[in-house]
Amino acid sequence: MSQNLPQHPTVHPFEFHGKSGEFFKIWIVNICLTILTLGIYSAWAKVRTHQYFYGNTTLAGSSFEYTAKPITILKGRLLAVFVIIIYSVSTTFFPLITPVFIIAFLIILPWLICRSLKFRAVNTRYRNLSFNFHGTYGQAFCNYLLFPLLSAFTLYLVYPLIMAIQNRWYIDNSSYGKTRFKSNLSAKPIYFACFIGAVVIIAALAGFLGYIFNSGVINNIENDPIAPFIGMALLPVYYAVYVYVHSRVINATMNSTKLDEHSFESSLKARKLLWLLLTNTLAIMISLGLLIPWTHIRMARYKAECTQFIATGDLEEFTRGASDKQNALGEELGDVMDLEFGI
Amino acid sequence: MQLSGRLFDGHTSKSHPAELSIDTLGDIFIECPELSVRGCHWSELTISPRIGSTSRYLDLPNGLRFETRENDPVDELINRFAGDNRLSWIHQLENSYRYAFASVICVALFVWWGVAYGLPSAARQVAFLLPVSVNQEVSKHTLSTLDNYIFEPSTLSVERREELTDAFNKLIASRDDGFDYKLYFRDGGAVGPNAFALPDGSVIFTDQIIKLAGNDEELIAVMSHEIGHVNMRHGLRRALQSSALPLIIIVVTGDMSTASSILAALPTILVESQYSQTFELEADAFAKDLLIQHQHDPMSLGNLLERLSKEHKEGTNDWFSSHPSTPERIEKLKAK
Repeated sequence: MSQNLPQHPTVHPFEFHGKSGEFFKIWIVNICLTILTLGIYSAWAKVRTHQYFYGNTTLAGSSFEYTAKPITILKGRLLAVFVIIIYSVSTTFFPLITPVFIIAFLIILPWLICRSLKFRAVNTRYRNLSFNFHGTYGQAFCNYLLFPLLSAFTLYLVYPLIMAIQNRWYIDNSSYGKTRFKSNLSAKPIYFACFIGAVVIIAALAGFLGYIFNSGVINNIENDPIAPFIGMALLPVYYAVYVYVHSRVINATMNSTKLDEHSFESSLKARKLLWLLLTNTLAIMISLGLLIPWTHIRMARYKAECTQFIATGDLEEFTRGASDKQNALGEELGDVMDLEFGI
Repeated sequence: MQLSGRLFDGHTSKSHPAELSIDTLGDIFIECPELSVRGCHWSELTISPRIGSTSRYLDLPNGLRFETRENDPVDELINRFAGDNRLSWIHQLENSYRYAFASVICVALFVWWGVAYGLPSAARQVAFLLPVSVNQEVSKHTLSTLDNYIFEPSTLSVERREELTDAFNKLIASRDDGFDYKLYFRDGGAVGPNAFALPDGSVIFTDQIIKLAGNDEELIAVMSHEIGHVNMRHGLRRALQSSALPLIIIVVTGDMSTASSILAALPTILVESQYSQTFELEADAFAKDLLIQHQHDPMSLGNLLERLSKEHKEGTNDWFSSHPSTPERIEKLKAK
């Protein structure tokens, strides 16, 4: 199977072909149908939207495919809504029961993480081969509950290391067909990004407090109408730092990922991402939401633009892994509870 | 008719250029230089729904998959030789600016109706359906929290408190709405002249508002207004409405993350201050009725509001304000 001939790597860029006008029509019609069907259609809307973005993303001339069945997603959604209603009703009338729910949630959280990652992987196809995810409950429990909890005792100094462990776990347990992804992500670039972020935040905080105490704003704080909003002055700084760390972590993770002999290259720029997010926010506000599809399209285009697949040899020798069935419950509960896993 | 695309065998990631020729009876012949594939009939295919101009995937009976971007010919063939076109109307809707425009109108109407009428009236129904004890549950620890962080003990004389409590008891004497009304006196500190109602029936007057009032009639008017907040279950309704607002945002944008983002904050604040203004007017109307019923002059409330607004020098912009403008409230109190 393996070829020992020296091969020149071929760079295949990820390409995104979605168009704002086309997606706008799909987006608004799907929202309208969702409203008219009292939410039932939302499962179909989700599949169609995902398929629009997957189908418009191509690599080496072939598109990706999102194969989830709407009916599976609908069942998951109904169950998730049911669970949330039970939760809010019972905690309103019996507040003492809340800890029981929290413990139960923590117990199923690792399962939810594995399920939703697997659901997404299994339902993503490229060249008629699907991806898969093999992470187990125990691993997710350690990576997402135990280690973060223990890191509190180190004043979160090991938190970047935990991020590295989580991302490595995600990559190492993913596969395309029966070929496993491999990650040799080290914690070093993540520590670096977090360090820069921490320095910026501390400097901004120090400068801000210095300004407040020196300028006399503090003496007049009782009567100042904008006093309650002073705390928000640092919000843009936090946001910028978050985007910076986030893009660095994605770049580091992608750049240390291998699929067989092939590798990835990600070159997201924090400055550009921040600009996109800022202009997207403004555009949505000014257009009363009508430009939401446009913001999704340009974000997807930028992310694809920054990602490349570096193939050593050809892309034709991946083979199918053992396929198995999957239910949407995990992903949907995650969706409703706003958990975003993975990268 | 011919379709060109690529063929995938489902076992490997190999991509084979291929042509599908479909004859007038719907029989398919597959020309693929690298694979020899048996032909089949169009009706044996499973075809993915059309979404925008993304590729279509035609599943052949033997596990092969044919990917093509020629969407229009595929649709034509589906129409001619049957096949699953139950969902093709969705693409028709998604592909027309006319329907998109109609959808914009439809969604805008829904949002407007939901926010202005649907949500408030649903919250109202639910709040009145739930037992009164739920209101007590909501505000169980509120007063002690306020005492810890904001209020100081009242410095009012015992006689003055008794006077006002008597007036308050007269107002609630014939009420049998299940609430346990109680009047409390506190030094408001930074809060200044104000009165509050907790959902369980506790009404709190700050020393400052008692000093501000020109006469007891005005204080009785404020008591009626606060009793109105309790009786109309405004605390519970506010809680219900604000917890359902994010739901509308999720339904409309189809996106969980928008509901918690900064983007949602501005419209949420706007809508909630409108709800709050509605509650104030509702409590004013309630107070007006109660005052007339007890042979008091409803305009005492207006007098106190004027005093308050002089004290606060309120701005002219009441879009984000939790209370309607004083002239508007006085206008409503005067009206028959």
